[in-house]
Amino acid sequence: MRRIPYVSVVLALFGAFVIAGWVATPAQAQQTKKLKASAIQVFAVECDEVKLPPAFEMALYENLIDQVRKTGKFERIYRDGERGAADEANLVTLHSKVLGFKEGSERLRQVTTVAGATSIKVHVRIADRSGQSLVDRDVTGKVVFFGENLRATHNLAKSVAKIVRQNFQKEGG
Amino acid sequence: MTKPLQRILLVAGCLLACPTASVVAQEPVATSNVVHVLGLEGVKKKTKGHLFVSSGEVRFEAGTAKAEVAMASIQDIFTNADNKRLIGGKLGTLAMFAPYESDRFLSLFRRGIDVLTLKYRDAKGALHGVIFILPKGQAPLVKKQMVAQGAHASIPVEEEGQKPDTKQERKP
Repeated sequence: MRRIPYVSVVLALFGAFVIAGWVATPAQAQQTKKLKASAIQVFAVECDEVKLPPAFEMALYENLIDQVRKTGKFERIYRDGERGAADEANLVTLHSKVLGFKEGSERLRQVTTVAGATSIKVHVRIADRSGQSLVDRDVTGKVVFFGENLRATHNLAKSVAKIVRQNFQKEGG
Repeated sequence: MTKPLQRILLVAGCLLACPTASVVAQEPVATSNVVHVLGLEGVKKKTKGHLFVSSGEVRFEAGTAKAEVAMASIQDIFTNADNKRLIGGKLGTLAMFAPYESDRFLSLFRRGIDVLTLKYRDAKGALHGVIFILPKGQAPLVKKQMVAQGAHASIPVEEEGQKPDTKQERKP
């Protein structure tokens, strides 16, 4: 039986990988293509199903605006109900709905280190003008060791900002 | 003293007393040792200052930093009792390095605080949230003053301290 040279097998495999990579590249590029928007409107936190204390609700809303502003991906950031957002041509909206909340204890965290964690789980949806979802993600914010209970909202907002950074690029950038 | 002189003195007294009374009524009520947690534009987070409640607005002052919220724009006011470590700040951080886990022991000593949350819309209709930390027992008083001056609150001051029987919390 005629033997296939070892080198030719390696070359064939290498060629196959190159071709596969060449074919797959446009699809992957399409996947990582970032969205562009000139403005974003952050809506008030929806907490109809899960009761969230008012301080947490407002802290989460304010921290979301703060952290989204820090990403620098949008020229203008509108708050809930702000006039002027309706006139924006390239506007996306950020909706957040509370899925779960567990208020821990700062004292317990400081005394035991392992107990008393505070956590908030929120479903974040970024949609375009027509209401079509661009990003749909569940995000959790926690305070496990150090910090006040309200820090969970800050950590959650930071995670949302990370999602914004991953999915959006600055217009003209 | 003759009767006409008495009348003149009475009228003069009334004229002098009336403007003074109106000035007293308009004087803002101040609460000191208030910490701005977040929400006010132009004021840094965790700044200590004074909170003034007057007829038209709520004003927070911390040194040169100042911010006002119009009383009519306030949609809701919430108060909540909480507690904080007695030894905090830099000393509290240094206590972490103290021997024999004494930091944990010190964490058991706490002081009561009140949390005051305001929800308001500015002139453009934009929603804002502001959180203050007040000394224990002050938040209900400030809320009462604000409601008396025309601010809106969905939960009356008397009912705020009562906790609901059913817990609707869901673990994430």
